[in-house]
Amino acid sequence: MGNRKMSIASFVFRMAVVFIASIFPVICLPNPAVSPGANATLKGVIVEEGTAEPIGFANILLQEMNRSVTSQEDGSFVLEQLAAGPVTLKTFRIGYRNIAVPVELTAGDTLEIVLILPRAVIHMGGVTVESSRTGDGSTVRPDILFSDKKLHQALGQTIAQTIDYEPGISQRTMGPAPARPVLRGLGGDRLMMLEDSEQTGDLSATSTDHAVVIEPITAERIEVIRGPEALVYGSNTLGGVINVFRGYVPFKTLSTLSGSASLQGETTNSGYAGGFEMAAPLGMFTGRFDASYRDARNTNTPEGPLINTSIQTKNGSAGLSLVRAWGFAGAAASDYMSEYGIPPDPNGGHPAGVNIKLDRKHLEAKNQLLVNSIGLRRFEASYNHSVYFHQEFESTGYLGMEYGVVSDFFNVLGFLKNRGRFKNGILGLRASSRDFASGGLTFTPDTFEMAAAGFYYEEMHFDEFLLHGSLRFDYKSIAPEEERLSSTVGLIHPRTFSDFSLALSPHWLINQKWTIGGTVMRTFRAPTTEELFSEGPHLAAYSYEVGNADLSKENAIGLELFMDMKVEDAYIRFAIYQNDIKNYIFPMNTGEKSWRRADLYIYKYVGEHALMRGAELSFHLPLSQHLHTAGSASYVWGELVDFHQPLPYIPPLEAKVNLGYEVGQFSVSTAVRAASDQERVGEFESPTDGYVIFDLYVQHVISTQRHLHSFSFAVENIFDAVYRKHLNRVREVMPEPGRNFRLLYKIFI
Amino acid sequence: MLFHLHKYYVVLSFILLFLISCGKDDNPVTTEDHDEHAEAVGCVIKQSDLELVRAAQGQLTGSFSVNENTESAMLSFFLVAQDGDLFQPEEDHFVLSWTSADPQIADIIHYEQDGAWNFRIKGLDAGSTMLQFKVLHGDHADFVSLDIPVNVSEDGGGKS
Repeated sequence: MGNRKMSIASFVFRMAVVFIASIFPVICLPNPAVSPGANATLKGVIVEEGTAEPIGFANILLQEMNRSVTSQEDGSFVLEQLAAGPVTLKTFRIGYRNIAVPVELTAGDTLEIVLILPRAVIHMGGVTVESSRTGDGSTVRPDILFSDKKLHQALGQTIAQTIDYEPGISQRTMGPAPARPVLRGLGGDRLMMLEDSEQTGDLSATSTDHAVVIEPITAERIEVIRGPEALVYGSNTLGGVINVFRGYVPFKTLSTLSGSASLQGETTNSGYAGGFEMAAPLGMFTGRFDASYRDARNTNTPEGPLINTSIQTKNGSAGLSLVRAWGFAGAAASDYMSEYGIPPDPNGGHPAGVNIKLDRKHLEAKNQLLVNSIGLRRFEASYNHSVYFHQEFESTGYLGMEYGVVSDFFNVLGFLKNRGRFKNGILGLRASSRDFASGGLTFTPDTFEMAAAGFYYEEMHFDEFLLHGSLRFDYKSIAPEEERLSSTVGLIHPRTFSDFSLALSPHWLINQKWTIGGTVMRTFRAPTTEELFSEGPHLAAYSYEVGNADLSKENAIGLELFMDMKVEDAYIRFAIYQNDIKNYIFPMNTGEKSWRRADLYIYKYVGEHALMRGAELSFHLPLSQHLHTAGSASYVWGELVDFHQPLPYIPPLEAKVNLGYEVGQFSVSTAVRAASDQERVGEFESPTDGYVIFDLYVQHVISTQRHLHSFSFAVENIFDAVYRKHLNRVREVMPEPGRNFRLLYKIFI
Repeated sequence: MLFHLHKYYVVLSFILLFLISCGKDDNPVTTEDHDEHAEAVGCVIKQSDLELVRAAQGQLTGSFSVNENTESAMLSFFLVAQDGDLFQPEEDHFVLSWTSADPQIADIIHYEQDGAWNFRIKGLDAGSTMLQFKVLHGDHADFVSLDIPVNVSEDGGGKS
């Protein structure tokens, strides 16, 4: 940081974090778990329904305490030093249905329990609906969840590739490496990408060539959250939140070593990846380590290789926690390094492409206190520190641009006790700082941002009705290092933004099968530093970006109506929605070339009124004991209202349908992916033809006494068809990958 | 209620957070690199005092003409500042670079004795192509010109 004022502000911020996280609970909260006899114990065994065979490697989670343990080979598990009171016990295991069981823990006693898990039908193509995020058996709005077999089957080179084709989800790409999800046509800063429920501190939201710094191969599960719950994480969550769980800071109680290792290979890019995740008891502590490596060459397409699309990624982390009856305290450190290519675009000013090298270092401390009084179930404080360094090199090796971002995130969350009809409430405070600097040919000033937010989330449960709601207030300041008047950007000076956000989502449980509901959401998004003050060439994005210092905040009203039908393993869900966005901020291609860099077009940030409407359908239907079909379809329509022009980069109608056959732990399925033509295009954007693609998936799980082996084999684009996806920024250079054989082996110990 | 918490929580919380909060937070990108860019809105190419080509503020006037197998006279490269003044950046920090869309037709010849900002165009084969000039600052191009047309004639003996 080149500015002393910024250093002081950062130091003050950090000291405030230390004070609040360490001292505040001491002063303000009562003793949680040191009262006599507070140490309860839960002992159990997990067996299969029908056969009574023990089930090892199952994950058992005590939801309210956020404590978990993995069952032994004989199905047994023990959780000790637990706080007394009612808790919800949830299980997760590949090949078995997730269950939630309420139990009552008594101080000083040991509760023994037998959990019987039924085998699961694997929902290969559609959404996996968590019937309850609340743990009380009620049906709340569905999220999209990727875990276990479904995650293994879809596991791609990036998170975006992994969750592509889920209802409403597309991926924005510029070569395979810098892919980022798009939800209901909303991407960038309108869709939060989280790792372990916290922002990553990278720059993936700001430009299409910037990669997300999350490695999928060591991800435990991926969740997509929309509606009122999304406001817990941010005010700019109109698109939703994608949360990748890795568990950097361990909170499992372990008696022995446990973990998993993965190995993946694919042919379309001669790529391979490997990774492991291990947790072990280390004296009075629990330690966790993970590491991964990914290497892939240029991607092959039916029309030849897409040059300069290789990727090498290294990732590793180490964490340590003390888990006790009062909660846990722990810390973790990680490093993510990646080098990848942006393919050439002869029309975009870079005939030989651009190479990007990035590094994110991350430190995290997380504490949890099981309070169980003064209206609180538990109290959590977390602090994340991230240093992100990103360099863009021209094909000659010249450094074109570099970015540095130092971010701090601090959260205090109070999980409220259930009070009559009010359940699962959360009160929280979030604060963050962001020190941004850029180098190379850039006139973007270094900036220092500070943000703070307070929020409240609650659920009201009635017999046939359920109401989720959240209210949030955000404040954000952006201070450039120097004030000056730019002839293109405007007056560069400090800006502050504040506003409230709210969301309400009523559900009417008509009967055991049908639920209808809706969501009303008002969101707020402050312009980013890049949108306000950027000025300079962005080589990898083939653009000369010009900010707009006068931009106002972005507000949106989102409306959604949905209908669910669920009968045992069958479900159908249909939703329609509208997002009305005032001052929708986006870089508009001016059609003019930069005076400084005549090889690049000028993209100027503007704020316009945008309207988006869409519909989604997803289903899963058993056809016989072993045969099932699943699928999803989604469509979004977007327009710049005042110009009567289509919004740029809106995905076309997309659909995916699977037909699967499953016997025991073996399954095989075929999938059809399809998209319509996209002819509603923005200015300087070209249309894209539709396509139909066929895939094949085979999965098998083998359980032995000591290990669990999972094999996933896929043939993607079986007929080597030429197809182009509308959100691929280099689709005119080369089509999507050709036929690809992919194998993933994962072992759990 | 004060100090009711378990000692582990207090001690660990404080140590962990203090260690993290005291970590070095220098941004990996410093401001030193981008203090002295060549802030230009175009370029001008002169032969002695005669302005042959002006490519500035998105507008191009003039072009090069040279005969086949012939070098032009020495030409001088200038940047155009925002106020319209012409200048040549300091040789210690900036380097003139160029690309020919078709180096079989015409290319740039640079003689060291001509100086850092002077060059000649050599016609190699009859036809037309484009030249693009760059001003390199360290590892990146501070300025990239519009494409400037070059016409190479078959007749010998001509000058640009």
